[in-house]
Amino acid sequence: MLLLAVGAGAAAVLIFSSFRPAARPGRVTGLTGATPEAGAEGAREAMYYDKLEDGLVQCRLCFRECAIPEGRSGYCRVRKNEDGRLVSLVYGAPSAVHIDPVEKEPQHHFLPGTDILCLGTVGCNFKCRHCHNWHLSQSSPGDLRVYDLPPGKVVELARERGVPTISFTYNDPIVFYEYVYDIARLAREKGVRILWHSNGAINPAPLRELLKYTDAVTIDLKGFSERAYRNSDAELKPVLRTLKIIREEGVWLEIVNLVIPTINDDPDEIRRMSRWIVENLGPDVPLHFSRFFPNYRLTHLAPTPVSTLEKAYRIAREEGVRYVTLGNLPGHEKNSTFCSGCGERIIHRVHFQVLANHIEAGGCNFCGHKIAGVWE
Amino acid sequence: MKNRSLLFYLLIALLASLLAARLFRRASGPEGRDAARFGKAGEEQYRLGEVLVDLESGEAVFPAEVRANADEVRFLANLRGYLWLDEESALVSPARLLDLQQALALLDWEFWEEYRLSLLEGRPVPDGGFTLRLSWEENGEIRDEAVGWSGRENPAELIFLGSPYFDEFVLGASPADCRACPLFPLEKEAIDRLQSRSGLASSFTVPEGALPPPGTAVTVTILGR
Repeated sequence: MLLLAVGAGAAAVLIFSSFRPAARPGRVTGLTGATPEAGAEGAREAMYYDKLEDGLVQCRLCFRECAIPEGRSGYCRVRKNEDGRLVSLVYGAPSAVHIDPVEKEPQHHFLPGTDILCLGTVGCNFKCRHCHNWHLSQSSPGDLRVYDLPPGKVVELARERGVPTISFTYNDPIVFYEYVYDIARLAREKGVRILWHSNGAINPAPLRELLKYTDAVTIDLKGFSERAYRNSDAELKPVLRTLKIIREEGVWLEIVNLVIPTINDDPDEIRRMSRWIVENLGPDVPLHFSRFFPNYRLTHLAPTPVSTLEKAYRIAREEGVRYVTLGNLPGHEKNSTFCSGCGERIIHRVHFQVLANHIEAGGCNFCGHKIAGVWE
Repeated sequence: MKNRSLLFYLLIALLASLLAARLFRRASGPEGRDAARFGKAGEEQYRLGEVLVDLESGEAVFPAEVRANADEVRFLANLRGYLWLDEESALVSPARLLDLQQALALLDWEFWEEYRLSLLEGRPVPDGGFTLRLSWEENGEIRDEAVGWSGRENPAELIFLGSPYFDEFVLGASPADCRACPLFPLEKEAIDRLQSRSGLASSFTVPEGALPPPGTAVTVTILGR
């Protein structure tokens, strides 16, 4: 009888939880354990660094490899030399926590129509003059309020909200690598997927280690010349290396290119970029051209003309990229994905919203053509 | 022996109920919920939350309720987003402004593009050939009226359709979500200035009898070219 009582109790709990109305995705602020707090503890010893002479440490995480004197932080402002140890100042302390559609990353071939739990901290290893999240990326620890969210709570929050994927985005996740890594390992155990959106300027060893626990990556390819990368005070080569490694490791990859007038909108540059993608990564890596709107330090530039984006689309298709979309241009036909076999619209989108999905078991509903991606 | 059989059958029943409960949970997951609120609603119809778009007839339809039918107002209707504008509108809608924006972009992306650029460049907002209709139940019959009060016909002037400067913050499209924050006077003033009307006047009085009493449910239809 005791067994029966316990069993009935368990069934009641399970049934009750099953019938509980599904929570509506939305703002996370105010949830238990996700309350913004000023100055939450965020220091934790960093991974990937060397101790040098005279108390110097050298960060080995990103292409900059900053040598940092005692008491100072690296270029990203969130990795600091404290008594000869490199520490991350933003561990467990995101400044932005949101639930967004996965299309916003953008990821168009990864569980379309689902939600992602997004996290970002302050700091970045780039200084993009067009940055749309500059209030996060160009801030320092202590500038903004943070959430007290250790890795376990993040995974719990995703499960509680029925969100299948955790995404690291807004600022560059490279700079809060340790936090990302710990969440990713835990998420893998709990069946939650991991996605990150990055500028890609990470060194190979930490990249390969993180990819073991990653399901999808969006890389911002900020142009295809060192000149274009100067707008971000950065370099192109490490990004290209990262793109190749992600493909080698078999992790789902999508690329976004924000087309900025006069910075990276030269049709020849777009053609060379598209060709490089097809030759080095294959034709199945989706390429999103995103529209620039005046922001941060580039308010003197006009929004990208629609004709420039449509031209970029045509060039990429001519060079053999199979899946090209246009973003930040709500309602345009090319928000949608078209089958590379029959040309039918297989995912109908307006902005970030999926209106119809004609992919079943990884194939086009109209012609059966296999569509590369992660669909379930 | 009889008790042991009873226990066995009870356990089988328990396992069956557990299995059914798990199956139910899967079926009512986030995908099912989203599919119900967003997506195809007919051959050429799409549902974007509370907004229904019909591409064949070129319409976007959403529900609203009369807040004021005689006052001076700045807008005919305000949707969920810029909450303080409710107090300055004749109709308030439970539909999200974000969804109406996407609906208009779906109907005519070039209009939406022109609307956003006109705000960025400080030009009067275009009408895109759209017109407005209101319908409600009155004395057991449906009353259907075109909106054209004293030359005010442009839906983009009558309904607040958002701001390219502040949507990210106010509508929650940005990580610096400010839906719960009060806007500072300067920002509020900037939004007010954005809505440059062709008739210059910032507000108008709803004509007598043009709207039913406060609290009445109204259907708003934005009709395309």
